[in-house]
Amino acid sequence: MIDIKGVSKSFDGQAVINHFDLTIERGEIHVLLGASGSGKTTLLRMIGGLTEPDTGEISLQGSNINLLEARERTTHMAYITQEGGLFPHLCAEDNILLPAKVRGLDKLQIQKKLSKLAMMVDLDLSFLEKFPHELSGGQRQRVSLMRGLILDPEIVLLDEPLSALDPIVRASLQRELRSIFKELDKTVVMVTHDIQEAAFLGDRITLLNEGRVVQTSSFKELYHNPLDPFVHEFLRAQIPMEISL
Amino acid sequence: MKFLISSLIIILCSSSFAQEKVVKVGSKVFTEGYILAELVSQIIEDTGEARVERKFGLGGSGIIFNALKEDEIDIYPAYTGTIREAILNDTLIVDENELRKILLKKYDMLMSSSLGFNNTYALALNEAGAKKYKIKNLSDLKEFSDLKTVFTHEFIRRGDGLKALERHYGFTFKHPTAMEHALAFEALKNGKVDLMEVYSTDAKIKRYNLFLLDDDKNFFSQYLATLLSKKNFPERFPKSWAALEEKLFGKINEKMMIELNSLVELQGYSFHQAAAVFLGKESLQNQGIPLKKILRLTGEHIKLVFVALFFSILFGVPLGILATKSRLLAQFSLIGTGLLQTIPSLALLCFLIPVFGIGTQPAYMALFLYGLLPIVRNTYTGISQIDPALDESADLMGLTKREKLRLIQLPLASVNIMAGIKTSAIINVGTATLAAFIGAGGLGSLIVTGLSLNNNSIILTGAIPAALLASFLHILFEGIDWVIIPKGINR
Repeated sequence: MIDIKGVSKSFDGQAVINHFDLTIERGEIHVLLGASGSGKTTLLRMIGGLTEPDTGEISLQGSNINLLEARERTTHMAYITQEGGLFPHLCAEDNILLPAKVRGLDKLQIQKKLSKLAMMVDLDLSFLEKFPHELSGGQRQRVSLMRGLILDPEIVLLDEPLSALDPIVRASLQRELRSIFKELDKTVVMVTHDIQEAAFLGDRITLLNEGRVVQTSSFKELYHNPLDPFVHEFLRAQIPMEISL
Repeated sequence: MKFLISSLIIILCSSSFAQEKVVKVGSKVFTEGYILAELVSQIIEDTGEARVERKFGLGGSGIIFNALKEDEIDIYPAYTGTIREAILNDTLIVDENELRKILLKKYDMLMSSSLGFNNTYALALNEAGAKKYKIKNLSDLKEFSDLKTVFTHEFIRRGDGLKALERHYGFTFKHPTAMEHALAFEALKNGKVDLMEVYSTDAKIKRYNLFLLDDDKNFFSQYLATLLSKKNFPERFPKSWAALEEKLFGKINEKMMIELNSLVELQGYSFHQAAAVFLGKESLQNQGIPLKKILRLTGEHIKLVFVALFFSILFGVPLGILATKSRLLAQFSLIGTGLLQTIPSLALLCFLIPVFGIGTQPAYMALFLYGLLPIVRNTYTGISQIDPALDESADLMGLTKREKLRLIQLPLASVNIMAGIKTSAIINVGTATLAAFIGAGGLGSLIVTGLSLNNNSIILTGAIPAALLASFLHILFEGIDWVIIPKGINR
C-alpha cells in the first residue's frame, strides 16, 4: 500500500531520517514507535506529504506521493494531529463537513455519513453544534477523527492522537480506535512513544532510533525476539513492572 | 437707404448687446463687504436686466478702486471714510457731497447715497454698565472718567484715536488699558471692564449685547456705506439702478447691518442666504445654526468617512493579505502606509491640492490614505498570527489557497481586521473635520468657522456631532463585529 524506499531527510545538516525502507500493508495498523527525536513524526509528515524527502521516494499504490495533487492526496489520506487541528471559528459539524463541502459532495449522503460516524466514535449528536472551545479534549479528538473519516480515505495517519488526553479517556479511545479502524478496514499509520498503546493498537510496530529502523515486527516478536540491544533497552525503560515480574 | 442700414446695424448690435448684458460686482475681503456685494448682486439679478458676475474678495482698497477705474468691475460697496482717507488721501474733505463731486470730476465715478449706516469707531458699554450708569452720549462720559476702559493698541496710538477723542470731548480716562480686541470683548462681557472701543457694525455687539454711546459731538469720521460705480451705470442698467435705489439706499441701519454680520459670522449663514434674508426671499431660521444645516453637514461628513473607508477596505485588506505572502512585501506595505500616517493631515491635504484641486476629491484621497494603515496592519497581523497548526490543518483538508483564505484565514483574522476597520473609521471622523480647510464641507466647516471667529459655541456645534458620530460608529461596529466575527472566536 505504502512503499518507503531509501528515504532520507535532514534539517540544518542534521540527519533526521536516514536511508529508510518500509512497506506498510493494506488494512494493517502500523505503529511508528520511538523516543522523541527518533524521527517518527518527520516520517509520518513525509508520508502525509507535508514534508518532502531529500532523497528516496514514498509511493502510494505505486504513485509518488509528492507528485499527487494536494486535493487528491488528502482525499485518499487523512492526517490527524495531536491537538486535532480543529478550526475554532467553526462548530464541530462544520469542522467535520469542511473537507466534504469544498469537494462539493452530496449533502444528504454526507449527513448520513455524519450520523453514522458520530455513532461509531460515540459522540452525542448534541455536541455537533458546539464550538471546539466548548468541547472536552476527548470530544475534540472524536470530532477530529470524524473529520478525518468523512471522506472515507483508504489511509489514516495519526500523530500521537491520544497523548494529550487523560488516562481514562485515553484507554477508552484506544479500544474504540482499534474497533473502528478494523470495522472500516483502514490502513493506519500511527506515531506514538507509548509502548502500551503501540502494543494494544498495532498489528505491526516499527521501532525507530536516530532516524533508522531498529526492528519491524509484531509486539510479541519485539518483546520476545529483539534484534538489537536497543529494543530491549527501550522496552525496559517503559515497562519496568513487567520486566521485574 | 443708408440710414436704414445703419439703424438696422444699431438695432442688431444693441439687441445682441442686451442679450449679453453683464454686471460685474466687486467686493473686498471682509464679511460686511461680501454681504453688501451679495445684496447688490441679488437685487440686480432679480430685475432680470443683466447677468451678474461676482468678483468678490479683491485685495485692498487701492486694488478694488483701480479695478473699477479700469472697468474690470462695474460696481462695489465702498465706505466714504475709506475713499477719503485711503484713496483720495484728503482729510480736508468735509462731507459726503464734496466727496461725491470730487469723484465725479476726477474719476468719472458715481458715489451713491448712503446705504443707511455708518461703520466707524464707537465706544461701547456692556449691558450691566449701560443700566447702571445710564449714559447715552459720549459727552456724558465727563462724569465717569474713572470707568475701567480697554482700547486696542492701534486706537491708543493713532492720531485720530484716544488722545484726539479725549481732547474733542474734554475728558481724560483715568485707567485706559491696552488689550487685544477679541480678549477685550470677553473682558467686557464678564464685567472685568466697563467700556471699550468697537466697530459700530461688529457682529459681536449683538452677541454680547453691548450698548453703543452716541457720538453727539461728531468726533469719529464718517464711514458711510455707499456703492461706487462709473457715472454711466444708471444709464447702462436703469432697472437695476432703480431697484438698488428702492431696496438698498438708506435701507440698512447699523442694527440691521450688525444682524446681517451676525447671521454670517455667528450663525453659519452663507453670504447668499444672509442677503436673501434681508431681501425677504428667505425666512430667518431660529437663533443658532439651523438643525437642517447641522444635519446636512453631518450627512456630508458621514459620506466623506464612509466613501473613504470603503476604498480603504477595498485596498487595505488585499494589501494586508499580500503582505503575508513575503517578508519583503510586508515591510514594503507596512512602512509605506506607516509613512503616510506620519504626514500631518493638513500637509497631506495641501500636497493633494495640486493633483486633485480643492473640494471633496483630495479629501477622499487623504482619508483613504489615512484609513489604509490600520486596515493593512491589522489584516497582516491577524493572518500572520494564526496558529501554524491550523494553517497546516487547512492544508491537510486539501483546501486550495483561495478556500483557505476565504474559509479559514479571513474568518480567523476577522477580529483583527474589524478592529482595524473600526480604528480607520473613527480616525477618519476626526481627520474629516480638517477637510473643511480645503472646502470639502462636513462638520469641520463649523469648526473652521468657529476657530476663525474665536467662537466656541460654533466650534462645539461642529465638534459635538463629530464626537457623537465617532461614538455612534463605535457602537455600529460593535454590532457589525457581532454579525461578522464567527461565534467560536468571539471570546
